[in-house]
Amino acid sequence: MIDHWIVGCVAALLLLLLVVGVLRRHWFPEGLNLSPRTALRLNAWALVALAVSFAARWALRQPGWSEPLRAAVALAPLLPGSFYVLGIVHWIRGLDELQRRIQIGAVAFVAAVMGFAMMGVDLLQAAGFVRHFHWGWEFAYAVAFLLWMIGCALSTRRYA
Amino acid sequence: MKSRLRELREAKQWSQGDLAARLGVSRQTINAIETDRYDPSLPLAFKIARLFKRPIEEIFADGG
Repeated sequence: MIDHWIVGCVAALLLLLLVVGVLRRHWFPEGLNLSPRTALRLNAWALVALAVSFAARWALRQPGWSEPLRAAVALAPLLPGSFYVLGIVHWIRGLDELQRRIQIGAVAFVAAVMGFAMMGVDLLQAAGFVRHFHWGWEFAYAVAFLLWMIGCALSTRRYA
Repeated sequence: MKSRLRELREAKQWSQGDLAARLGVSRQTINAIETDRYDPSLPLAFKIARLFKRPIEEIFADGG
């Protein structure tokens, strides 16, 4: 029952993401200084990781894999995922000092909210309110992306 | 920290974008410094001082 409520929350978050996207120009006086091309380039490895993840899940349903190979296939999305993180770090390092500060603020916001959210869900699970709730990394990535946009907005407005 | 950046920039008849390009930072950074919402790093403050050929303390003053 609670799981349905969580799915509703995710749908609401995605709707909010859409609204944030539409209102972006109003929220960010200077924009994110992030062209669609740069945004795509930055997130390309995440999309690759997503594709590898789906492929790995499908592949692991097939019989006949040895245990070490199963582990290697299961962990395969980590490789594009690490390229994604390196790309983000490289991009932040290349920003000018104020933009860098804004991005570090946004990333700290994401880390804090995600940490508290995971803690909250875990506590609710331990108390028996939430059952069978699995934090898939795809879900966590979508939520982190939304939180990053909110973090950018909050951090940017401080200097606008 | 209070800055005289706007006054100095306007004396040169530069836009915020012009100054940002000369300093290699974003226009948002220039705007934030001019409105005293952001204190530049020491390297950027030196860069600004060199660009306007003035000592740092003539451009930036302790607002406290």
